Amino acid sequence: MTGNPAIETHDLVKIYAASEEPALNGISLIVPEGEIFGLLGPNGAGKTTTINILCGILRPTSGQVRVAGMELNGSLKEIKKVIGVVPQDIALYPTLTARENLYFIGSMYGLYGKLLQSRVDEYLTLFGLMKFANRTIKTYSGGMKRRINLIAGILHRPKILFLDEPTVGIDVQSRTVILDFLKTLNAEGTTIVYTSHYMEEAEHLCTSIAIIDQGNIIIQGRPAEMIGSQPGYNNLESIFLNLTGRTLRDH
Amino acid sequence: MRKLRASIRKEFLILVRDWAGLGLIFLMPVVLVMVMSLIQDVTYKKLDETSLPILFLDRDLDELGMQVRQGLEQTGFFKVSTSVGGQTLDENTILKLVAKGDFQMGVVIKEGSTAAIRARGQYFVQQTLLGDDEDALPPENMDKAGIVIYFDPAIKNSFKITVRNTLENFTSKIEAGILFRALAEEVAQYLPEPPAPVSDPGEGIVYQEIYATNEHTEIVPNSVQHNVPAWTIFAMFFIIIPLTGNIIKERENGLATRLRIMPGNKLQALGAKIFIYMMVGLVQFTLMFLFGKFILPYFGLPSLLLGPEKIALLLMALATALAATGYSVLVGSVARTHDQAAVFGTVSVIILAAIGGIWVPVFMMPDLMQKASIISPLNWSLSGFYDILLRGGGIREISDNLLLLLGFFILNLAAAIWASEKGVRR
Repeated sequence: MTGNPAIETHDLVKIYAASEEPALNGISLIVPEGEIFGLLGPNGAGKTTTINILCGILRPTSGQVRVAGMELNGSLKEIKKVIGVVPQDIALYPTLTARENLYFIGSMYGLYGKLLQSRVDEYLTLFGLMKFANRTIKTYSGGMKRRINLIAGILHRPKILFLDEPTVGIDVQSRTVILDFLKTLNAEGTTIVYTSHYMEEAEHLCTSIAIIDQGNIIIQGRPAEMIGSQPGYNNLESIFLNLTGRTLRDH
Repeated sequence: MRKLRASIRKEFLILVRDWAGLGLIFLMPVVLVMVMSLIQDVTYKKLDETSLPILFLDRDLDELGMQVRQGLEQTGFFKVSTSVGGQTLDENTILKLVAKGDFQMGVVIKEGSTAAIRARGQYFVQQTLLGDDEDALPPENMDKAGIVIYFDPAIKNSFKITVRNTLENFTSKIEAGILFRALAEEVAQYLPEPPAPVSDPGEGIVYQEIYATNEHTEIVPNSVQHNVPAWTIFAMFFIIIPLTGNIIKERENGLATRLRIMPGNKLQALGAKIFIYMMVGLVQFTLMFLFGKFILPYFGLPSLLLGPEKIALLLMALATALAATGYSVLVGSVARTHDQAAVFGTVSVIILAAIGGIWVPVFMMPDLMQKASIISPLNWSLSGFYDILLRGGGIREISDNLLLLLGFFILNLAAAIWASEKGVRR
């Protein structure tokens, strides 16, 4: 573990109004600054709920949350300025062009004028989308949409970046571009919290990992240490299946 | 301020790229105003400005028959036909033609009607002047006077009553004239010298029609003065379809979540939508009123007269646009799906329009519906526009309506914010 905690949670509980079972059942986490933290788990395990609470989208039923050294409850406005979120859905306006979407989102983070324009151009170029900048999002392929969705989350250069399954359903080229970029971003000091179903991807990308199931963290640590500590299992996927079982998780 | 400007720009771009929404917002009301004004134009015209073809059979061939025919023709409201296709009419033909719907009405003056009225007059005069002679029997033909009116079953009851009242009005005058002459002739028999002929005294009571307005305006009620504001209000409330669609799409696409994650408050995001759709409402108002003033006359309709209170008109349009926007934002925040919002939005606006007097004037509704009309924001708006456009009112006269509409907007907006907070951060 290095640096101060970027994220801390203590006994985090979330019970949805329409449900009797808790979605999160007392989760305690510490993610130090500069980590790429992978939150892994089967469907309905509580990954997205955790991310949504950390971003201030959902209120926890109980428990404490600190993000970037600030209490979530009471400092949400300040926290929003230093975090970036790449949601699972392509949260972009389909009838606006990529540039129009990014200009709008950048403006919401206080970017404007030449700075906004240069930042948008820089990322569009980096992700190979410059020549499609003036096409509406609805004409984009799945991979292109994912890349713009990622740019929308990093345009303001956040200290902490949350990514909820950022590579789901895209081609290998787009996935490689995104993962390479995340490594670069992390190397520049951004803490990354990332959820995924792709174990191999998480094993290679993440510096630390927590596996969550039925609202509980069942194991937490560095991927290499985890693999070494489980005799007979030589990769993250086999450990994951061993811990969460092979039963299908429909929710 | 930069964030609000960026949000407004984004909302504007989304709106102008939604061709279906634009058509609904701007094209539908223009078509509605034109169609409804043309349809209702006749009901606002004076009787002599239009004519309805009717069949007429005079079996009386005397004073009543002649005068009824003359009277019908003189109203200018009827085009009297005594033959069809070169063939003279009989009662059976009239019945068939009206039943087929070829004509909406047929009038038959019964045989001996004038003679019966005369006999009745003479009998009553004799009874009056000579006292009650128990042996004197009433003449046999006294009850034979009559007019049969055949109506097309599809005709509206209100029209039937109007025609019946018109006929009764001038047949009673004719009957009174015949009775008066019978009385004069009878009285003359008992006088030493015949009386000098009486000249026509003319109408006993003169009716003067004046529209009760606050100021002496030149505005005359007509279908355009009624329909342009009514359907403009309807159209302004119909932004519920594109605006709820916008809000729900934002939610379904995860954009509402993105907006929550980004710095800035809920009011800022909503403020941009409210601003854009309020402007849409004002553009609708301007276009529709210009259409009423300059385009409708090309279709043979009267030009819309705006009167002197332009600022009051603008304020009423602004308050209506805000009320419509507030209501749409609330429906968009509460509805779970696009279909739910579209169905509920459309039906609720149509009901509020019906209750509010957009389709049928409130005074023509049953008591219960008249009482219900006060809950419709479309009624508050329509009353305000009528105060300005028909009654010559100004800002003072419409202040209650303005306050009601603004209150409605604020309440809806507060409820929408509460509902979306409750829904998202549950």
